[in-house]
Amino acid sequence: MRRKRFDPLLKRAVVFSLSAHAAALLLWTTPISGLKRDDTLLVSVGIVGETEADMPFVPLQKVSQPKIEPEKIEPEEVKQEEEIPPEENMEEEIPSEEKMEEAIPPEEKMEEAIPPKDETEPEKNLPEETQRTEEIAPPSLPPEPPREVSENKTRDATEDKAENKIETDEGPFPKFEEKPPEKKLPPVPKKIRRQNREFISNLIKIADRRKAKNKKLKQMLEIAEKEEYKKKTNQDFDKMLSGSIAAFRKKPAKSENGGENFGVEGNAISEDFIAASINSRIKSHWIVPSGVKDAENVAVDIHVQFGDGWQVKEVRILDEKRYATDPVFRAAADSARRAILEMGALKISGGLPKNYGSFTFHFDPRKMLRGHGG
Amino acid sequence: MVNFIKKSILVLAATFGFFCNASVVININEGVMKPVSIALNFFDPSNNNLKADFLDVITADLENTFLFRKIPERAFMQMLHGIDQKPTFSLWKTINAQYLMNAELKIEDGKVSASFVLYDVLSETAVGTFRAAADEANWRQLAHAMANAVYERITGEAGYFDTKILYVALQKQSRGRKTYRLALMDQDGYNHRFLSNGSTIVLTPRLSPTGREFSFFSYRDKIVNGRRIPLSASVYRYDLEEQKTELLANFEGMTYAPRYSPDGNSLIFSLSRRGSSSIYTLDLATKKITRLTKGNCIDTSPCYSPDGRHIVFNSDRGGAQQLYIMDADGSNIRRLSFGKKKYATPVWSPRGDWIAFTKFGRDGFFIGVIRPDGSGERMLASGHLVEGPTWSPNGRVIMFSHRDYANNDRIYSVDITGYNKHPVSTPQNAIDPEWSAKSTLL
Repeated sequence: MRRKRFDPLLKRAVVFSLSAHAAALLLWTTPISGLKRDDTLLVSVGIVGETEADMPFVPLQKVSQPKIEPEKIEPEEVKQEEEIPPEENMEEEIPSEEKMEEAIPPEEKMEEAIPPKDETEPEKNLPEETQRTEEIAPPSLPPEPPREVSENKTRDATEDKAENKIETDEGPFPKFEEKPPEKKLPPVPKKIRRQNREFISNLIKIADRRKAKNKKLKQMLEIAEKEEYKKKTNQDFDKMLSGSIAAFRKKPAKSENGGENFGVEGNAISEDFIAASINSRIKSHWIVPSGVKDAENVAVDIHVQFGDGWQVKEVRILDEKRYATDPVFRAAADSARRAILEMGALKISGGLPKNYGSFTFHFDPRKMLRGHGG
Repeated sequence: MVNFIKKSILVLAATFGFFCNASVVININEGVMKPVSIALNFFDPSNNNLKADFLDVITADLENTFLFRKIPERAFMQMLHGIDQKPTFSLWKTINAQYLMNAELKIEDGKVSASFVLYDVLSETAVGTFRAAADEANWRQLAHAMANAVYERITGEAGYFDTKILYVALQKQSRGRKTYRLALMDQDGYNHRFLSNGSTIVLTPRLSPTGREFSFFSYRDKIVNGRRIPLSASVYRYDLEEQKTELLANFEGMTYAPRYSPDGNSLIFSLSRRGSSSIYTLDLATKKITRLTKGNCIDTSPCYSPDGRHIVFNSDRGGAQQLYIMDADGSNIRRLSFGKKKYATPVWSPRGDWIAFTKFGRDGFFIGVIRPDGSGERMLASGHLVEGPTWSPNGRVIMFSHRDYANNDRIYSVDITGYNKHPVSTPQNAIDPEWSAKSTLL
């Protein structure tokens, strides 16, 4: 039995899909085992770009009021940091995501460093100092190696951020800290965490780009609505007509069955194209006589003579007798004539066909009024 | 058949013309439904606000039809001073005016005279002229007449702006009681006046074709244990010229929905006896009563066709409440509607081409129209409670009672195309509108 060969494209697609799934699985499992904070961050990144409030940088704004550990930094320096406006502080810290990674303490230390919820929520009535002492003096704070102030800043920011996250997580998911197996898992290697960070930053960049694109698209749509809507019908059809006439010009003057084609300067132009051109131009101008008695049967024939440049030269209602005696017909005929005059010159490239420059326009409202009660 | 022959001739002519370098037929069967733009240029040498008043009335008349759109005066590039001045059409084309009404007003000896020339701007021709005068007190009627003239020339149909609306005004009293008063007003809500004091309950006022009188159904009642019990019900006639009420019939059973015949010589109504209801006619001159339908069913809401040869009514003779048509003598009864819901209050259009009706079911009430041959049924309006349609004299617009969820009763108007549904201005709650055929009411 002959074995069926796979399409190489399909094969490539399957391989690509499998590898993508594997990569996604790897990325997904890694933070769960190692980094709870990253996991939550990843989730928040997922909705980046919808609103500014959802941006992952927003929680970092709270860095502006860092909780400085008393052992490492002098109180004077703390005051200096407090004086730093939040935006400036953000500018210093946000770009250094790699530093943030380095500044993140091991998981266990982080959890230990997180004060209980009651303590982290400052009481409004208390003075600032009291709040600070409550925040910066956790009883089980482990000793840390000496670092530079900037690192401390970022580290505190991360802690702050982690605290914020946990505060929010404790509401709907109060069991967050009560997962014993996660504590036992070994910490994730720095390399993988860095990769995750890069992945997240890439996602943020992509989201930003999308947001920018969306803005551009909206602007384009607005412009299109304002400007192109008015000319859309005419332009499209004029293009189509020009193209078709050009195509017909290439054809011989004699048709295949031996008959003569009629058209521009001896070349062919279809009656259908002219009819379609006129229809497309006139349909937005013809006010259908709806609501009058037997409106469906009020069809009007009008003779139209075009001049040079497809300008309407002469308009004549054919049934003059009925026009003079039937007011409903007269109104319908006037409406049709108005439409022709408002239509203006047809934009057909080439001159007026030699064989015909005059037409009979048959205005029939039957199709429009079906179901509208005429 | 005639159309077919015409078309055939046209096609033959077109074919012949094609070979003779003649015209080619272009079929156009797509258009739009939008208002015609009109510029109203008024010249008032007397300068006493007459121009503004006339402009207000004419603009409201035309724009309420949804068929006209007035171009604001501030857009004008040329002001015409008198009807003798010829317009510069290019300037009016620039502001997209399709029609131009160049009007002139004068006041002489307590009389207002108005004249105008209507121009088709695109074809650059005068398509109509108007000249009329009225007492200064009747200037609104004159303005309505001018709007009528414009409407007629541009749509081909008779105008209805100088007509009147007869209706029942409802006034809520204490303990849930209501007073029912007959009221009359212009179709735009002006010149309102009450015709009855509300001591009795009046319903279904119907104007005669001459417009000089109307019939109505009235009864006195008493409240027993919170329930309204009718004591006596009668059909009356009210003469608008002499302002007199005349009892037309006082029957043993209940009478409903009297309507005039097209010639105005007789009334048609339904009379309820022993659980069934039949249709009768009453000759107004001889007071002779003729029974048209028989049987143990409920036949009610009869209405003549404009030519007086047929009568449409609703009946449950088929098991459900549906519309039926019979000849004027009560013969040849055939069913008109076959919908799943119930049909009521059919009213034949003055043009004769449609029958308006109320349709109701679990999903609410509807105002609809159907052709006399049973085709083309479609709904024009819907609501919590909509009923009692009445036609404009030109058969173009329908008014009906409309009750919202807060139990406010109002009169609404809708175009026969289903567009332009809007409330009619009334000073109080209003039900049961009846549109006058002519403007000859007092």
